[in-house]
Amino acid sequence: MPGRLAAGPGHDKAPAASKSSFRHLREVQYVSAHWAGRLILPIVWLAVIILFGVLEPSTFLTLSNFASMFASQASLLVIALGLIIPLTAGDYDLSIASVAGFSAMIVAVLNVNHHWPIVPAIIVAMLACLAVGVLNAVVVVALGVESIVATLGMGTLLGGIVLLISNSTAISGIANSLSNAVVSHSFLGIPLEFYYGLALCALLGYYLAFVPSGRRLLYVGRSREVARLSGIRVGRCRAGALVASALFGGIAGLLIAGTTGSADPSSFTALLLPGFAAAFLGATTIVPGKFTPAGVLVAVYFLVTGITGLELLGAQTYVQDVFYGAALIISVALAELSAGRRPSLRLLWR
Amino acid sequence: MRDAGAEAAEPGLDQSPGPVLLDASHFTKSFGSTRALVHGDLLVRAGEIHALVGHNGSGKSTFIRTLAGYHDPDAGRLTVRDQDVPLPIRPGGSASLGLAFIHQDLGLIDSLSVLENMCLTRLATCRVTPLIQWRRERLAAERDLRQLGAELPLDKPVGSLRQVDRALVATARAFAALGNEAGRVLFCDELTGYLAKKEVAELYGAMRQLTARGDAVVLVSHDLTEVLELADVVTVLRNGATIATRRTSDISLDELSSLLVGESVTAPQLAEAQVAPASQAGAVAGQPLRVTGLTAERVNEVAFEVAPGEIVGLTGLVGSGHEETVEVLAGARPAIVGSVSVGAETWQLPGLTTRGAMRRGVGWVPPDRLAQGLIGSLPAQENLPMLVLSRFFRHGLIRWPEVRRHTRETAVALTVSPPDPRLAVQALSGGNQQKQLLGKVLELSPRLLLLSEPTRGVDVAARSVLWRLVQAGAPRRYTVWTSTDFDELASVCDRVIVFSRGRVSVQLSRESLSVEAIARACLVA
Repeated sequence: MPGRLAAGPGHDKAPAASKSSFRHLREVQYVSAHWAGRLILPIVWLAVIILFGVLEPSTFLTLSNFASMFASQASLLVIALGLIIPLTAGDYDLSIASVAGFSAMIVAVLNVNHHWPIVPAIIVAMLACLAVGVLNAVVVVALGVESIVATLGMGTLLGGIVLLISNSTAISGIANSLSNAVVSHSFLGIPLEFYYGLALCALLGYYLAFVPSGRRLLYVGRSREVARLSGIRVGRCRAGALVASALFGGIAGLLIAGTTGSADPSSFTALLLPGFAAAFLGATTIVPGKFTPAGVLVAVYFLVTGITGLELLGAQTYVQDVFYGAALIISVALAELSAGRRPSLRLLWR
Repeated sequence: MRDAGAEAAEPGLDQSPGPVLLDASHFTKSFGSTRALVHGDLLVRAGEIHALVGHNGSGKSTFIRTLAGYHDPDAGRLTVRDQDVPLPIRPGGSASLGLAFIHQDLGLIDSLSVLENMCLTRLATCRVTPLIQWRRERLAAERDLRQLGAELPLDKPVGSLRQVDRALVATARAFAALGNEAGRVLFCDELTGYLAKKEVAELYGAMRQLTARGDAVVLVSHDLTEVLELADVVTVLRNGATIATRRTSDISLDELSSLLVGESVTAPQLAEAQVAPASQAGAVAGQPLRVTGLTAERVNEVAFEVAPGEIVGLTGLVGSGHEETVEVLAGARPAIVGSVSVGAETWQLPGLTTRGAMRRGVGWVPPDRLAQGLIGSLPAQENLPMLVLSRFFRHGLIRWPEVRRHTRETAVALTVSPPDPRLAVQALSGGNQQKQLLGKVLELSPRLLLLSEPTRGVDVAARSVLWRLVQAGAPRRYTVWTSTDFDELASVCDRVIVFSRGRVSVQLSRESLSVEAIARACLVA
């Protein structure tokens, strides 16, 4: 019955007020969780490395194995980093993997089919990604379409365009200079693309934590209303995040084109779900409950370590999907439990 | 204590009183040491629209909640249609007694159609899942609405209807849930707060259609003029007790408001109340801040002045426009026309954003601290400096250690407990959250500080701390304070402006400020 009959304080309010203050006493919570909670994933990662190191010392514990693990996941890392920008601001970008394919395919088509030099091809590809990001922002922010719907549509649409411009075939033979810059040259035995991913990770980490406009993304993501009433330009923040994620998708596409020297129109969508898996898994660690680049870094490399180890032990390729899925569900569920949620099967009936 | 004369209201020119549908007497209810309801009496007859009036805290919501089975009364006797009803009523049991309750927010789902909303209760509670026979549901909905004299498009989303039509849908649905037998009693909580005058009459007209068939409606209302014009009987509660029940034809506005307030303040005294001279407030030298021609969706040509150092209270009944006025000044709600000026500086209100208002030196403490003011899941160190984050940004870095230190110092100064900058603000008690919110706004050093219900749901100790904090800084700025807590307004403000139906109706100066004067001005306005 009426909960709002009395607008001001009075007799009616007394019981409610005392009840809620008890609740507050019980639920005193700290945002920075216990260090163990923050470090579970890195610790498990180390444990996995040690485990496979013991089981397969000759193949797993080699520099070349680590070099290949680190380098091969650079594009996934960049995609996951791109995803957490709009996620922090409260929006999904389901088009990011298609954007990666789009940028790789533009480079391939211009460089291979039209004999453009590689640098102008890259510039055009990045401008095209920028345009996609702007279009996403217009549909989501200006037209007010749910981001999950708008970017799903955009991703599907781009997938079709990639098939169109590539004539539905893989295009190989992209200029060596791109491959050299991405994968052939290495530093400390690890191909350069790993360091590009690392640099983007550091850059984004700095921006989100230490620059006011980056911090505002968090406020917008947590409460658009509070952000708006605090004088934050909510639309600009959300639009900027979607444009940035498209650019990250474009960069991921360049890394893939450089790694393989080609662009395969059918291979990119497979990056989307692992990207989200890494983003959410990363949000359970380092700063639990927040999407952080450091968390994403740990998550991506934890996942690839597990998969590589299992494959070295003779597991089939299906193990990759099983491991991604299981790791995501288990770790996010554990994070909910450690946040104090009491599970109950009875909730299924309520 | 029920007024004997009312019950014996003789069959006069209007229809004779119908049979008694509901007789509740001697209801009491305490919460801990607080006696919320001391002596609740209510007698409802068939065919009447019965208004229930009383201040905030007069016990009327507690009374209604016990009848709804939401609270268990400590004592009381209840007869419904001559049947003794054992107390307490179990939750949900009131429907089988023929009693229905409509909450102020109506309980409608805006995006669903009228028809779907009409079926909602039935579909939500039926045990087995039969096929929904839409044709039958449609006929039933049409019939239920027609009983109220309403013809509404059944396939339109409820959100697209006028406010009064939404109220009608809720009313028709509540009645339908009670079956088709006459003698039903519907309790409505403040349905008319946001309605325009014409719509109020329309709603009462619809209710009449029902009462003519032998049902009764009990309306909680704050608007005494409306009650006297449109209801048949009025019951007054004060300090947890039923003071009187009268036929509205037998009582004047003056008598009614005296019953309500408890002290006879006569109308001429009200008219004498005038604006206090600015110097009264012990103000610093400076120009007054002038609001001119402020017009928005529910506010009409509001104009007032605030002297430097003065705390001006805005109040009125729910929906009377004082809340909206402040939201417009803060840039949170669009204005149609209006401007604000301080000395030679003037800014227009249409097109003003919160950001623009802040740049003008306007700080606003919004009424809902966790939905509008603070991000509950984030710690104090993120919330407090939110408006001035760039102040801590130097040489390319937000200086978090400095932010943390500043947050802790501010929290200590505001007596927030615990003053831990890393604690999520939702873990704090309401009073401490409110102190944090005030602190967040004060970081701006606003020259105009707007406060919307700053002590709602806050314990007594925190309330006085908040009062002191605002009063301490008041000499350096203009302060506008909205509240529906008359005691608070009388204690804190130098002057109170009372709103009615979107306009300024009365201004009360320091000398004439009292809880009774404010209450009376709100009710009679």
